[in-house]
Amino acid sequence: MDLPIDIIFRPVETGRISWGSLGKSLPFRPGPHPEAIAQSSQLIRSSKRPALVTGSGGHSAEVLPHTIYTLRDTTEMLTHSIARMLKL
Amino acid sequence: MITELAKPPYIGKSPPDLIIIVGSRTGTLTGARSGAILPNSGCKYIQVDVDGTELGRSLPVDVGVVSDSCQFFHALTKKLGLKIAKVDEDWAKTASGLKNLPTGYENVLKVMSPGRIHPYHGIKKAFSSLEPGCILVIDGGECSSWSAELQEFARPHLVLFSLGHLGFLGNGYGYAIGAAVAEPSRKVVMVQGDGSAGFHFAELDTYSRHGLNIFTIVVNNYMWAMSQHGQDLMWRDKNTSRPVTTLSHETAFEVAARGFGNVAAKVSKFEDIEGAVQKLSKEPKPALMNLIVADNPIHPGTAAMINPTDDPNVIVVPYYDNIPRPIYKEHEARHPLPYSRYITQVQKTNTAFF
Repeated sequence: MDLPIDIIFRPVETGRISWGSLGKSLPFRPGPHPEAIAQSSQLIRSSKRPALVTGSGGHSAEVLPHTIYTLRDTTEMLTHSIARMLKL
Repeated sequence: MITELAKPPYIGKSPPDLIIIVGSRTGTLTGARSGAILPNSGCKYIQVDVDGTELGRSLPVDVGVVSDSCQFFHALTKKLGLKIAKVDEDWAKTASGLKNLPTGYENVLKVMSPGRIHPYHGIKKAFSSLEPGCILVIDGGECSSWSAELQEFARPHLVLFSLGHLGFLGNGYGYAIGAAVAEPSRKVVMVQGDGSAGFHFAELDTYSRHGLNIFTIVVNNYMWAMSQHGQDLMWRDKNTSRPVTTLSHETAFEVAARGFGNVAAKVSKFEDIEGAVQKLSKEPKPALMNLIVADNPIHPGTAAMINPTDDPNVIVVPYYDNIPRPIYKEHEARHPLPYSRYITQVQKTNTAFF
């Protein structure tokens, strides 16, 4: 990429900068399609050996309670180990 | 850790029949398409990601969901209802016990030869000697395999494995800088192999100039271990020359680090690790430990990525799936035999066709 030198060194005219929605509230996050949830629910119900894999998008301080509460609320057998994770 | 999912078949248990991937990218860390970690048959997949291009990137998914993780869990909980999911008792016991399976390395010698610590024990001791709550940045080839396996001994606040989707090397420096700037009150511990350390070693100058709270551990076996061990597994008897993957015993990372304004030490005795880590990790400036380890243990992760074969119709690709040797149409038009068999025949008969 090459930028003309007169552009690079030109003083910034702040009034001409488009800031988009910066400064406004963050947008609402995308939610799942209802049919995706229906099919996921069906697969979970019919599985015998399910495993949940989470990464940096699934175990942040914000998301982790949702992950754990989902497991706690929907699963009988893991309640004990999850309670230990939550130090309940 | 994700690699735990590779273990069930080795202890006589069935792998998962459903994997729900939420907010996690597939790739090198998940064994790509090899089936070693994420089964490539007999398992259904639900994958949830905010980026639709991630869905099915490594393996075909049965249900792909473009969604934020929280929104997905919230909707799923609502749909499933309370206490409905029945989990097989044997599976629950197997899955929750995978990470507690005994490792064969606990009983091996801590020191392989004078001045050469076993990497498992060296890294374990170093991690165990840290104050809990660090941000652990893992980089490097084979040292990253050992470190990932032992990460819990560091009792970290966060682990950043700088592999990326394709298995990058040397970018832990950038991760460490980002982590140190974002959380200046936390100690950032960056692990590098002596191969990967060379990629961006001059960033130690950046650490120093900006007063970043980073403690670097170079796990040094004087080689590109993942590459050299791969070569050993593929060509041990056929060719013993390792001119590129062998690194120098003369390279003094601790001296170079001091030159960049870091506090540094070289440690080659197991009993010195704890004291060195405690001292260096509490320094008010960036620090480095050059930890000398043995070169001969091959991490099983390296062995799993090499599939040597004498089949002339197969091209062995280290770290990835082997591929069939291509047959060129032009050749086929001239000769009825596949190229490799044709060449073999040429060699045997010593006939010059060209």
